[in-house]
Amino acid sequence: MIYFDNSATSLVKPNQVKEYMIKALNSFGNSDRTATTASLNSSRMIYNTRVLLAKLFNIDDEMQIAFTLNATESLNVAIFGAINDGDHVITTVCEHNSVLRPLYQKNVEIDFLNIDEKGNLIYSQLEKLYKKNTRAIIITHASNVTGNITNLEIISQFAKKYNILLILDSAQTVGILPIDVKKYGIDIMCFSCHKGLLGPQGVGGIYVDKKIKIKPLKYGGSGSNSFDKIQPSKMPTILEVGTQNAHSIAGVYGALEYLNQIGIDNIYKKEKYLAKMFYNGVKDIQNIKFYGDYTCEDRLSIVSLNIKDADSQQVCDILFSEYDICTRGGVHCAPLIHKAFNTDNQGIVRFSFSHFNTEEEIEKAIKAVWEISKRYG
Amino acid sequence: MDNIIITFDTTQHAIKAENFFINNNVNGRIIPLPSKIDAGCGMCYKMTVKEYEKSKELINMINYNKIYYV
Repeated sequence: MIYFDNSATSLVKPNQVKEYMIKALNSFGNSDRTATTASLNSSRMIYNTRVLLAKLFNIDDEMQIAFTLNATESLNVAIFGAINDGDHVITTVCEHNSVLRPLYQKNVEIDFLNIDEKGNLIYSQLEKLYKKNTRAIIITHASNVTGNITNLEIISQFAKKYNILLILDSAQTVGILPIDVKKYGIDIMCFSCHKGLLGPQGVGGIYVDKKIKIKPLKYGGSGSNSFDKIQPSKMPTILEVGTQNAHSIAGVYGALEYLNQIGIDNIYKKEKYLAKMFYNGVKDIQNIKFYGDYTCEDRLSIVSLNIKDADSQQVCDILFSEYDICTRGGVHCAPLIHKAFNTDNQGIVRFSFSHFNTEEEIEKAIKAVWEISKRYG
Repeated sequence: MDNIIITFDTTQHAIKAENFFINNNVNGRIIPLPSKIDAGCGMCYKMTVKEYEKSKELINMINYNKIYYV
């Protein structure tokens, strides 16, 4: 099987991930509950993972990072915990439903930053979107459909100029692109640990700047202040309710150890090389259409395409059933970008690569796409 | 009273302190928070008064809640 669905989740995990998880399964009690070795093994691993994440994102105080189930939960925490009814929010048509659906549930005004034909955000429209009651800009660090990377410099300047919150969805970029929370003045960052970070599924995280009084989404056991009727107000406990997924967090620790050894810049270089190789191999197919800016050197290792007017799901199934190649068709939970591309009916076939992929796999995929394209004249 | 205990805002802050103490050779250990201090469970850090006196400067560098003589 050739796996090119790494934007959904990374399939190949470093050995350290498995080793730390097995060790955790054999030795972890419930974290932060008592002072026995079993409980402390778990508590210490959670703390140490927090420290590595803080280093990766240039965060001064690791306690401002809380673990969640995934980036979706983090975004729900951010939107329900830091945005008030009556606020105005600026977001983009590139956003995932993990941003859009929570926003639609709130009684807030929403304005969307649009994209051009290559999927690049039209930053010149930003100023026009600002209103007196704008509370935040919520934006993806890179589109999960096109792989285009957001210009954080511009977004950061805009947020600072109007003193609004910058809430970043970095689900697609953690572990691949460097993210400096301090440099860009990111107020809240929501991330997953199972994609570019190469950890197991079931863990995400949220960074919340100290100045924000975040409201919790969930209430329950915290291991301390048990007679209080309210959740303890301090990070990370305010957002870490109930037993944490310490076994998977141990896997994340292993993944971070691996990323630090290899260097995320090397991972990014290799992934870009593979994506470019694939793009160059299929770009001359007559009836192919691409989505995203492939003239840009800095982009995620995503190549999104359609073959003539073929249903993306059908192409996806041919790739899998006849070539054993895993891709993702459909709309990738990002409905507005598909409306912008007019692909809401056709969907898009997305190839997303990992540095664990090989040139041989890319060559097979190029051959497959050429062959399939002939069926659609 | 031979010992002190240090309390924290969250249990993860106790783990952070433990890490700091280990790295700076401050002797002590994490214990369950005694019920007479707070009946709401949680964890704290226990050390001898002698160790506390010796390491006061370092202890002041960490983010703790209160110190109790026990």
